[in-house]
Amino acid sequence: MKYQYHLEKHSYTKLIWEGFLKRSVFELCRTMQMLYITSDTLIHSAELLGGQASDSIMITFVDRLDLEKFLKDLKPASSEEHFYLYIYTMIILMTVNNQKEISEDYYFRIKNLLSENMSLFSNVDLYDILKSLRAYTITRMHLHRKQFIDELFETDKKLVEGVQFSKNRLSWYIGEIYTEIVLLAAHKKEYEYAENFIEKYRNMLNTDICDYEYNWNKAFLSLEFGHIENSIVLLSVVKPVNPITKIATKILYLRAYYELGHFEEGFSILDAFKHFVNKENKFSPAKRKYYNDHHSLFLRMYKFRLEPRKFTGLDLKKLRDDVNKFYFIAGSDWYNKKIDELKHMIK
Amino acid sequence: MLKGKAIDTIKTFSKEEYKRFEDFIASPYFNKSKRFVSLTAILKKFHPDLDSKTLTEEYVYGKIYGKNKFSYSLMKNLMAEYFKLCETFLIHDRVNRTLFTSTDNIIGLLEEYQMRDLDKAFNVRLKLAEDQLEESKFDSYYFDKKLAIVNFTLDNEFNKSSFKTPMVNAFIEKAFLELCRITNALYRNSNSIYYSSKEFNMSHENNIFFTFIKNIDINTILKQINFSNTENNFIIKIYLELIQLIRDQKNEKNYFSVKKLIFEKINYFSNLEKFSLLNILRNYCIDKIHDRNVKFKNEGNEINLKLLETVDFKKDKLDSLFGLIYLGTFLYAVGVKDFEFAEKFIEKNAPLLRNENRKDIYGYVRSYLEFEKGNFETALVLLSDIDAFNMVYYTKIKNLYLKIYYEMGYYEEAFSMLDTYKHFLDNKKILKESIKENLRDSIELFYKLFKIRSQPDKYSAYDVKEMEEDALSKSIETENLWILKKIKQLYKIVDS
Repeated sequence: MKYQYHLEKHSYTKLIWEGFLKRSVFELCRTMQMLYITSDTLIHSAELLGGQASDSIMITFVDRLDLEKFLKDLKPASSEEHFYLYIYTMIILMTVNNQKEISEDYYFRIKNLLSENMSLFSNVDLYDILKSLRAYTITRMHLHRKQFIDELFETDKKLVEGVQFSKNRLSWYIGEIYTEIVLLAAHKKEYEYAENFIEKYRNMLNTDICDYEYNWNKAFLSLEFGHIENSIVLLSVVKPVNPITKIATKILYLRAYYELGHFEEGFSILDAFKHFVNKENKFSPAKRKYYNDHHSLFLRMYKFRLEPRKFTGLDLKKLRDDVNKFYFIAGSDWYNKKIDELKHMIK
Repeated sequence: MLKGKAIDTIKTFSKEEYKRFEDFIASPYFNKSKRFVSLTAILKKFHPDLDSKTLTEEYVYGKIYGKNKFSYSLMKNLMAEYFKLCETFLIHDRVNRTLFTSTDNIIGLLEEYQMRDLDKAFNVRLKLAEDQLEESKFDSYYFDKKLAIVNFTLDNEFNKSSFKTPMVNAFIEKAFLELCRITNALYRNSNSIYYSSKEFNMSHENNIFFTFIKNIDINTILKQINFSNTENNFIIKIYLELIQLIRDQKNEKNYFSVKKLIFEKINYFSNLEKFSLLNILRNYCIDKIHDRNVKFKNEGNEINLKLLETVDFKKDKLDSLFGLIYLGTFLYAVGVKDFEFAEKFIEKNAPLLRNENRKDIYGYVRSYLEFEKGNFETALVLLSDIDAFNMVYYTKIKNLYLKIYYEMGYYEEAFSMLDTYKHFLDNKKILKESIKENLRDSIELFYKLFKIRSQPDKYSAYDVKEMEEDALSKSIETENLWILKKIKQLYKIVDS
């Protein structure tokens, strides 16, 4: 608007030129912001959304941008606009290269830049950037880059500490990371953090998932503390709100019954688990396979535990290998611990 | 006399607006002070000029505060608060005028409904916004609003705690709209920067925006995207091809390809977007004409006619740009000696010219037409009545004067004008060098022309030949073509 006046008045002055330059840089910032947010969603959530990233011409467009060359031309210290362009460009590069090792370099550069300049970003932008970093760390964990479990926890912590979820209709996202943070805190043995977190963020959960999330996580922590009976009591009031939460609840029951040696109940849950996974039409084929693999781990653990003399060290080694190949957000330690215990029981 | 921002604002109110302003001030929702009701009533007597000598601060103060001693600070505070009310009125009145017809307003309302979880009301108004956009045509506003609607859908889904249904279609649509928005911004900014850099004699190469533009592999994208599989993919194709056109000026194939597509699809776009798309083609033609590419004169005229046929210049603040198309179309018609069309065209379209320079543009084209018809005296009279409101017209008017002087044998006047003209160019730093060069070439040719014409006995056919060769090596600007014609006539004079 500042420069439009001169343009309309046909005053041929340098002001119009300067106005065009400024507008172009602002629009470029907006462009790069749109590109990183949408590329991130399309690439990281393609499976959840039930499609493929390549279905979108946006991805074709992003693929044909020479962003590495563009990045070299940016001077982030020269102006705020260059800084934003620099960080957005790196997010796109990190996202589109998420299967390659080079992406880790971008990840750490973004993370450091962000840590030093959190105040430069708006609430929504900070949320979007951290969400991209989170999605990226999960992708790297899927590729068995184990150190990214710590990165995920760090990013989640930054999300809950840096973003005001009560603003900009972001509160739903707490539900996305609530359980993840508790699992990660337990994995890091930061139990106090986990307990405080469960209580502190309980009220920010949407009302329809609040009870489920709270009770499930309390039950999980009880299990972690070895209070198995208490965990079962807490689980008895857990009311799953969707197919995924149904499975998550069954998994906790399976852990609890295993610890208590309640095999009959365990096998019954395993049957129901299998049946449910294969009948539920909302699961994608990849999701179904993931749950069936998880089922297989539990089934073998139960069988080994029930009749250890029937199995050999080789069987156990195979089970351990499968556990290590399986993607857990956190929690593989429990399975490995149980396999160690089985070692002394088999022939 | 009472002055200030509030007074300046109220001066712009129409009678109907003043009436609404009175209602606004009288409404306790907006104003609870009786003083402002009184002030509005006082000002009404002096509206719209508000420049009466009676209307002083003391006068207004006395009317509002009675016989109390005049307080400057109290008056200042009163007017400052009054200005805030004026501003609030402008915002409310703007929203009120287009309450449910503006998609912007409905989107604002949808945000409120979403925050308040009022699903039923939300869905009714969502449908209204969708219907409005269904009737709209493509441009950046459309993409933005359509994106807002898709985002509402996605936002609603994400806010559910139940299992998220696959929303791949919504995401693909969102990505498509964003890419439309992005490529739209890229082509518009490329155009602005590229052509204004030429205008202002600046370099666009070092600009970060253009650095980004250079890093897009447009050819591969155009090959990889199947533009026939989705109904509206042509939008992105047009925008990308326009960026390509600006980036690679030498490749004329790009021009003809994108021109064909734009002409085919022009009616899918909004009024403003139609202008924007055709204007880039027009800019391209002008550049080509400057580079002596004669065939682009026809192309330029075709684009001008398409602009006149499809764009409503009365809308979207386009009236300031109509003058350029008006002049371009007229000059082309005169160039091909279609005086009848030229005359009808300038008369029919003159009312569409902007008030503030209608007289000057119309006067110029009329004078030009009279000159072309050989009515030099009339042309001179018409020309003497107009002002050069910018540099383009300054040079055009000077050139026309020189041509008239030549035909009328006013050599003294011509030499004097050439000196002023040359001096003007030397002092105008903002003009791009290539334009200056062309103008200097014209001045030099005019100068030689006048010298030979005024003293033919001092020159030989050899001198004329030399001048002709010089003229032929220069640009194909209209003035130079006229000069070439006059050089041909000089042979006869110097020979005799």
